Formats: sequence, C-alpha cells, structure tokens
Amino acid sequence: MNPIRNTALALLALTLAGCNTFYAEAEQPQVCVTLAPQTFTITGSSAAPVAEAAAATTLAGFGAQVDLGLSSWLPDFMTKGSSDSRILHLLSFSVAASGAAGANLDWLQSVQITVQKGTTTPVVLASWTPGSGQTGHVGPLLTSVTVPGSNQDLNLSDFLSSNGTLVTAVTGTVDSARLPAGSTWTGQVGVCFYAKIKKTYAELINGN
Amino acid sequence: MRILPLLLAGLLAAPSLAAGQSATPGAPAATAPAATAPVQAAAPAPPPVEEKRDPQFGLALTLGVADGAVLSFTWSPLWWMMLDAGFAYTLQPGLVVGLEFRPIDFFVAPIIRGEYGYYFPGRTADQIMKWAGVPEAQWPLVGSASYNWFSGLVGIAIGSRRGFTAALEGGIGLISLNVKGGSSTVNGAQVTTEAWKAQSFFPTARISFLYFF
Repeated sequence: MNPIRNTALALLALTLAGCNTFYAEAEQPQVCVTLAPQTFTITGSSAAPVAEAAAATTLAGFGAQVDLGLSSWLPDFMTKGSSDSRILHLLSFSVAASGAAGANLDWLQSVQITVQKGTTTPVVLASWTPGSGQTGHVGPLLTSVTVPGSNQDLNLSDFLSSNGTLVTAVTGTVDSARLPAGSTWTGQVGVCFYAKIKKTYAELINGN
Repeated sequence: MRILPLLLAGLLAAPSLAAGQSATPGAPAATAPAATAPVQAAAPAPPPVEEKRDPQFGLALTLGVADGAVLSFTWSPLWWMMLDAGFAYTLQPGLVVGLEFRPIDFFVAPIIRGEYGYYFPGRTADQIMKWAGVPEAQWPLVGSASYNWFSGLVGIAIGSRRGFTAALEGGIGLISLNVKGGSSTVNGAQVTTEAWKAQSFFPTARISFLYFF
C-alpha cells in the first residue's frame, strides 16, 4: 500500500467528516414586523347572537390575504433552503386600528390568522375573540388586539414558499351595525417571530 | 535534551563526592591524618554546579483563526508550562489568553494548548453582512457585534526553549457572535429585531513565533 496515498485519503476523510461535525447556528429570539396598513373587505353579513352581550348582533365576515415576505426582513440563509435545519415560530400576532384619529376596533368580534402553503389545508396560527384576554386597550376603546401564537410548535419554515414568503390570511367577523360606513376597513397587522437555523459546514459549502 | 546537563553535572560532582566519602566519620583514626591531608591539598572541591534557570518571560507574535493577529506576553513559571495574554486584532481589537503545555524539552516538541479570546463590539457585523451579501436595507437590523471563543489545540514547536521557537497548531473551537438588534423600515414594513446570537463549532489553526529573553 502506498503510505502517501493512504495518508492523503485519511486526511480527505477526516476533512469530510469534519465538515459534517462543524456547524454554524444563529438564533433570533424575536423579530417583529409591522406591515403597512392592510385593507380588509367585508364579505357578507348575518344575524347572530353575541354571547357576552346577550343581544342580537349583525355579524359580517372580513378577510384578506397577507403575504409576509420574510426574505425581505431576514437574511436569505434563514429563509431559504431545506426546512430541516430551520425553525420559525410565530410568537404573536396583532392588529391595530389605523386611519383617522379615534379609530378603534370596538366593532371587532373575532380575528384569526392562518397560514397555508399551496393548496394544503390552512392552519390556524392565532385567534382572538372578545374576552379572550389578549387585548390592548387605550382608554375605553379597543384600539389594538395582540394574540400570542396558539401553535408555537408549528415550524413555519415548512410553509415558506421558494421565494421566502409566508402566505397568511387574516379573517374574522365584525359587528356590522357598529362598523363605520363602508365595505372595507383598514388595520395595521404586526407579527413577531422566533427564528433559529443550524447548518453543518458541509451544508454551507454545498449551499443547502 | 534536558537530561544532558544533569549527566554533565553528575560527572563534575563525582570527585568532590569521593573526597567527602573519604572524610566520613568512623574511618580508622590512625590512618586518617596521613591519608587525607595530601588529597585535600591536591584536589580542592569545585564550586557547586548550578543548573541555569530557563528564561521565564517571552514575547510572541501569532497569526491564526479565530485569533487574528496577536501580540502576547508569555510567562513560563515551569519549563513545561506557559501562560500568555495578548492584544489581538481581527475586525476589532480584542484580548486573547492561553495556557500551553510543552511536555518535552527538545528542539522539536509537541504542544497542547487551550485559549480564550474576546473581541470588543464594533464593525464585525458590518463586515460579516458584506461578506454574506445581506441587503443594505437590512443592515440597521443588525447592530454592533462582539465575539468570543474557546479553543483547544495541539501542535508542534521547533526551536529552543531558551531562545526562539516557531509553532504550528490546529484544533477545534466554539465561537459565539453576540449581535445587538435594531430597527428599520424594510420594503414598507417596520422591522425590529432583538439582540441575537450566532455560534459555530469550527476548526482553528494558528502559527506563532515566540522569543524568550
């Protein structure tokens, strides 16, 4: 056996083994994004009782697709590539009244955020109804709602599109009788995430 | 090797030991004065041989990963152990301290070393973002960064323990990058990041030149 060749092979094997042993990881405990005001379209109305008020209320649905372009806000290595090495959790979701002074969300009856990839079944990330506790009041009026993620074990990396976008939908119901005139309402949506990535040197070298 | 001076010292000390034995109490009293007087006159005891103490202090220049460039002072309280502390610079100034063992005192000697380094907050993050191709719009989200690491190395030193040595070492280390957060408007969204941390288990290497004076 050629000792030089054996030595070279051993060094190569050691290097390759090392590339799978050595790693780099990054952890972002919290990144919060407040999107530009979103317009939600009222989709219909129906009479339904509201339990707490014990009075008939006219409910109307609303919804809008909100694309969270995470690749715009986080480095590419945290949003692209295999989801096996990445963890992305929703920490919280918020919606706040926007528009004219005094705007509020007192007419809001429920809100939820779901995530979907392609044609898969949407998964609820967070939801809120009056009295569920996670509210942000300014004075007597409800001006914002903040809800912790209800499914914090869900790895949102599995839902990222190839361009690093998370397709979410914000839906809910409003009391159309108290809603200011119009078929739309505008609110400011905020989301907070936890992100962690761990890659071996071999993965970094191969660009995975 | 270190054993050579001991052998020489033993050879030089042999005559004085012989003289000492001849004057041992208990020898026959009648022959002692006549026999010992000429020996003492002919071979006076040589002065005691003192082994010269190895130099304790040195100055080292090191280039390495993740050390960067390091100018350090070395203290060797024992011939086989060295402690060093130095000023370092990579992307930022920093400090490096190390503990090193050289268990064999020879022209070529193995080295076992452990070290810790800390680099102060500064432009580290900017450079990393440039290298990583992070879009400039995201730069405000990454504040100043400091980093520190631990490493363990083995290597080989060539040269004299009492003068100049060059050493080449390799090993493994754990490096931590501590980054402050920031806030910025990116693509129409207000983004705020908390302080975050990155770690890497990485291969490390260094070459150093040490002079004991």
